[in-house]
Amino acid sequence: MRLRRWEDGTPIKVFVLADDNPLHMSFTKNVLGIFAHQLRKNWDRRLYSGLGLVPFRVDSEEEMRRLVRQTPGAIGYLTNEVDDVHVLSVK
Amino acid sequence: MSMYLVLNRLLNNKICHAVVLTTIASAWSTVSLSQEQDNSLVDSSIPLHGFISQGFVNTTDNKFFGDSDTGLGSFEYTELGLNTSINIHPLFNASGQLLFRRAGKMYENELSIDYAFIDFIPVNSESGSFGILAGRFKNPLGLYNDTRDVAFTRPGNFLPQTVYFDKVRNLLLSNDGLQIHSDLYFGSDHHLDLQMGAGMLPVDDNVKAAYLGPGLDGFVETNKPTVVGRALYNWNEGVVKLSISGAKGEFDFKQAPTDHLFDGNVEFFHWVASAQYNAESWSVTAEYMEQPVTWNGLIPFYLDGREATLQGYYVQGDYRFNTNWQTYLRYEEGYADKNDKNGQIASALWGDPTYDFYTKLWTIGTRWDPSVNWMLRAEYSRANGTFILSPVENPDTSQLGQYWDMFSITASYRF
Repeated sequence: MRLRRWEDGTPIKVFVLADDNPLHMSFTKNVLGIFAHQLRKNWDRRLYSGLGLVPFRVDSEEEMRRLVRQTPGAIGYLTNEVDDVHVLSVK
Repeated sequence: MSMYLVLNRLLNNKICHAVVLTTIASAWSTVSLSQEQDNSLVDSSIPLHGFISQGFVNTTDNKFFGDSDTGLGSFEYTELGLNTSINIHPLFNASGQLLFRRAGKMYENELSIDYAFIDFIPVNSESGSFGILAGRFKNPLGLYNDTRDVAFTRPGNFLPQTVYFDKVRNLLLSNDGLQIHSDLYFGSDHHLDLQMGAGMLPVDDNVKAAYLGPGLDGFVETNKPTVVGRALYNWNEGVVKLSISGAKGEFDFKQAPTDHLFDGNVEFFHWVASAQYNAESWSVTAEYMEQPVTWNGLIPFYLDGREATLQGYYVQGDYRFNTNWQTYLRYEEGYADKNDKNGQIASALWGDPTYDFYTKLWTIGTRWDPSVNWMLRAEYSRANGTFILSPVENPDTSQLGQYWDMFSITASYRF
């Protein structure tokens, strides 16, 4: 089943690195099973017709970590384990 | 590399590992507008996105997007856009985009509201979503019409003209009215995106010239709503896309005293079938369009009840060398009437050359994305036939050349 919100109703807030960032490309392909260029096409179609937002783009893993820590409902990806966010190993 | 999914700590005790892994694909691929305000840094600012694109067009003969055939070429291909989407209430979003566009003599320095609507989304659940919006919305036709003025989303410097005619862009661009939209998810990989709307099309002089010929001082207007809809099926987040879409409507012509046509109206039903396959390094896209048209009244040059069916189709292959470089090849054909493919009946009726009623086009291009925000694209086309050209830009058909080549470059930036 698919969810856009966590079970408690908090909206899922998605953070990503740039399309050409190696971690982004590896995460989307190996964990999500979707190529980065497919995601980009799907996001752009919604963004430029007013029917959706793109995930918030961060410029570094440091920024990713900071925003996931601060934002309720946030989800992102990193290459290192850190202890101020909840971590699940996927690869 | 090792990778870790990370989540905000407040979610720590509320979810389990298995649930997260089954939801993350959906979360990334179908980000929807949030329905609750919160105090995070991310939500406190209004998101602004936009784009700037400038093109250069050079043709060996005929005018396309300005005086492209003068040797110096034309720079009259400019697009600037600015958009936002704001969550104004837990169940309501407001979205809008301003567009400035220059496209030769077809659109001279036009600033317009590209879309502006309030979207009410009462249903947003595990199996899908449902919403109704009111205002100006882009018509969902084919794979590309709803974002047609955004260079980054186009499959080339121009949309395939045989399906997405720029000469009558305004006929099907957007609609002022209501639209229902819905996403349905079933199985593990199937997604159906349904949109249906009705509204008044903002027709313009380009439409008048393309459907009724040049030299008329009267005007065209829509007095009845146009109904538009699209069913888009995605398999595995878009590895396969299949779509059927259409718009049915009509517009009226009110003559000026000096015009050679009497009052009348034009009915049309524009429909498109689309298919696309996206692999990691390559994609194939094919679209097929027909548009039956009926002219009523408009005597004496149109027999009352005259009909024609426009037809257009293309196949395009894209190959991505890496994240920064890709190349594409496209073949397309378009006809003013599928029952008169060599244009002889129309030529006998109107006096224009037969090749003004069809176009067959080969296009090859290369796209370079030096960074995520920038794009450069160069494209070369060889054409036989002038059907895709605008009568507003080429009013004297005796000046048209049957065989013509085109070279274009566009530079685009987005934020």
